[in-house]
Amino acid sequence: MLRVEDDRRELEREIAKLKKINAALMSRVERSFDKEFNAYSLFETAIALDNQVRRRTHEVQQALRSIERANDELLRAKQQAEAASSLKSAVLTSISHDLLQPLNAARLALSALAEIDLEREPKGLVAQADRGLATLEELIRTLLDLSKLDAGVATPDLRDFAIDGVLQSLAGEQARAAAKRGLKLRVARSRAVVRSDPLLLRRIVQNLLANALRYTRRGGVLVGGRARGGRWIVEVWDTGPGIAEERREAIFQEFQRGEAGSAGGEGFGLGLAIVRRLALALDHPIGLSSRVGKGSIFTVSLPIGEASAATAAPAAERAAPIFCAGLGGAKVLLIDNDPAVLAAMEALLTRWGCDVAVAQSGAEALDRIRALGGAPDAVVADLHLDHGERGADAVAAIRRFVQRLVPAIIVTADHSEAASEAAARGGLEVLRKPVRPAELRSLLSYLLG
Amino acid sequence: MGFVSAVHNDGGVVAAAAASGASAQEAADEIARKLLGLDLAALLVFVSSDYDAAEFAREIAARFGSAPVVGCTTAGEMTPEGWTDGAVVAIGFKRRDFAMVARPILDLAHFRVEDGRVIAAELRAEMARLAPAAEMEHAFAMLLIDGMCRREEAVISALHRALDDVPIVGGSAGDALRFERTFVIHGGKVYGDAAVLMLFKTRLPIRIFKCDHFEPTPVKMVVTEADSERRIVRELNAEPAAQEYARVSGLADSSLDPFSFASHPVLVGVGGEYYARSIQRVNPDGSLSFFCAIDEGLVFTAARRRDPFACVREVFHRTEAEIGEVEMYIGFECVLRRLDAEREQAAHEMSQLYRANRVVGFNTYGEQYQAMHVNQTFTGVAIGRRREVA
Repeated sequence: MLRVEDDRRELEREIAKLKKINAALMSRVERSFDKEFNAYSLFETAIALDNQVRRRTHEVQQALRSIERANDELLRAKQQAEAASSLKSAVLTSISHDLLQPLNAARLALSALAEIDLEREPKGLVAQADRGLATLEELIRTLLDLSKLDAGVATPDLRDFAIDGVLQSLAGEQARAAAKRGLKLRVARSRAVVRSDPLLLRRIVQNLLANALRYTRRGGVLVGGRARGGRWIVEVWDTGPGIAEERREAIFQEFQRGEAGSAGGEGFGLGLAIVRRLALALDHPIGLSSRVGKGSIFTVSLPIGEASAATAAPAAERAAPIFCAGLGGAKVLLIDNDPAVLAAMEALLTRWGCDVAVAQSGAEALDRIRALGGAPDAVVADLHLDHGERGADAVAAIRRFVQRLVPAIIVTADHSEAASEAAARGGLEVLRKPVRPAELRSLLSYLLG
Repeated sequence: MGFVSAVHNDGGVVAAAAASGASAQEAADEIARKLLGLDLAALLVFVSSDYDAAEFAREIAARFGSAPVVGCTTAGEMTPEGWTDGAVVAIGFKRRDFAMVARPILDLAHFRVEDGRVIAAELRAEMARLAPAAEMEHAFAMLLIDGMCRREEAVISALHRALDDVPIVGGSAGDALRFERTFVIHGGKVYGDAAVLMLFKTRLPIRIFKCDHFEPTPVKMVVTEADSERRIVRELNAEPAAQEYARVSGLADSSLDPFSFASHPVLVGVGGEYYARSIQRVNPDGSLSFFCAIDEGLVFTAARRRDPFACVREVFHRTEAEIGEVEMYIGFECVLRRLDAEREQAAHEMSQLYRANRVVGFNTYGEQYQAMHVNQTFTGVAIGRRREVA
């Protein structure tokens, strides 16, 4: 009787165990269809993966290897291109800097010349020379901006603004050039708000417009725009000679120009290359459709901006001089290591009635002050003097010497933000080379006022 | 005191040295004496947990300033002279033939699949800058990971996926069967709850390998209760796990130790093949801790050992058939395989076999092979010889 009881208990225990085993297995089977992964299912997946990999064909592996090789070659080519581009940027920056320096001297000299009472003919020549230099300056500034974008030291200043302001001001600038060539120039009004860098966008459209005017002999140029595919498309239409299919890629290359012998000899053939590079930096695709003998349409595709966030597009140039009086008899000390710049500035300031002293270094400036026996009313110093001396330091030394916070202007060809910030910290005004005489004059009269 | 064993193939492409100096500093000196003169792209170190790993990491990094040093602690070392304990093994990869980049992966407790993708992508980008593909056409990846982190499956499966076709192998760091703390070494520092991923490129042909020497028996056990997070099996067949494992394996449950686990692993059958799930230890409550992921409802199959030499020889034969003469095998061998060989009195013979075939590496708490974290295997990468063009 007792044994039967024991057997029964043993069997019941066995059944309970089997039930538990069964439950564990069933739950596992069910869970194996769940999406939820735990560590063990990762292991199972790994094995499945491994088997799958083993089934892969040799061909697939070879294909992958050749793609990898191709990718590596592409990567290497890209790295080389990047290296070349960065070298180019460095060279361009330094060349631009070296170009701005003499340009500064030349424009200052021309300004001084313009102040002299001249006959009509020489006056015209001076004006012509100055326009040429202005074009050159504009070009150098564009190259500088491009090289900064390329080198990654500058990033586009994207903001929302009404496109109309930019287009109308461009039209105003080019109106005379168009009229002179007997061309009609029309800019359609638009209420679109776009998102871009206003100054860089301005350069793009300016180049397209100048290009269209340059190559169009009769008819005219129309600048318009329309919404398409969620973007705003600026269109520059011309009735020029048109561009043959096979030339369309080439015209965007540096130093490629339109048909030989076309009118309007200005420019270096850089315009469209600049357009393309700027557009690339801003991610504004450029389009071109053209019919030979009929004309061309260049388009720039812009993202649409937030109307509520729109700001006024900054003007391309600084405001015209407001303060123009009060320079007569002012004692101005000029410090520049470049004798040509010194001479030109001296001539200019003298014409404005200033009492000018010049020095090529901070030490020489102090000597001058000692010899003249009095503090200057203002100091204009170049940022980079010889032997690593900085204009700001020279100004500081002068201020210490005369024990007065003499107003001072730092002139620099260094277009980086860092340079202006450093000067601003020292309580100095900054003017960028090439110095525009009107700007210098207004700043000086403001400081002396 | 201390010895430095002969350096393999001085004119070769990889150089291995072992040291057993009394202090971490002396061991580092010994390694430096042997390998510092070579122009190395990377140095791999496997350090016995008898040494202060942090001190050794600092000392060795200070001596090999220019070459990155990566490594981990061990449960035994495979030196050029064969198996040892209480030593340091160092493997130098010559710059002429190798490029290596490495990244530590910290805080494995919070490791996410996305982390693996990011790290693998960073390493690939760094490698692309370091070594143009045309010169170093072969690639492989190596993982060293904290052997007590319980995160191997998550890490290796994420990395394998992220590395695409780059083969990956690795080993879990050990601490001489103390099961307290294991470390990986990177940049002169040691890290727990961490791994180091290395990406190698080389001019030399390479092959990764994996072998084991167990086969299934008809005896099955079902995991009826488990804590899969902590890799603990509480019950097998609805009985306390240790007791049931001992009964099924024909062992006395009072005498369960690493040697028992080494000779009586349990297997799981997946996709037509069997994989060992190794037991780490018996816990006081009669449950079993494992070296790898387990789950409730798993069916364990009792295993029977096969000839352990045959499978290793097969690895050597197959590899040489594929890539020709092998300069060195870098091996990750489960510590339980070594215990099994010691118990079967085959340790000397196995050690000689490894020595004769130039196997260096360490005894692990788990091995990684492609997307898998496995146990009780001999896994690694074989590095071929340079083929001189006639």
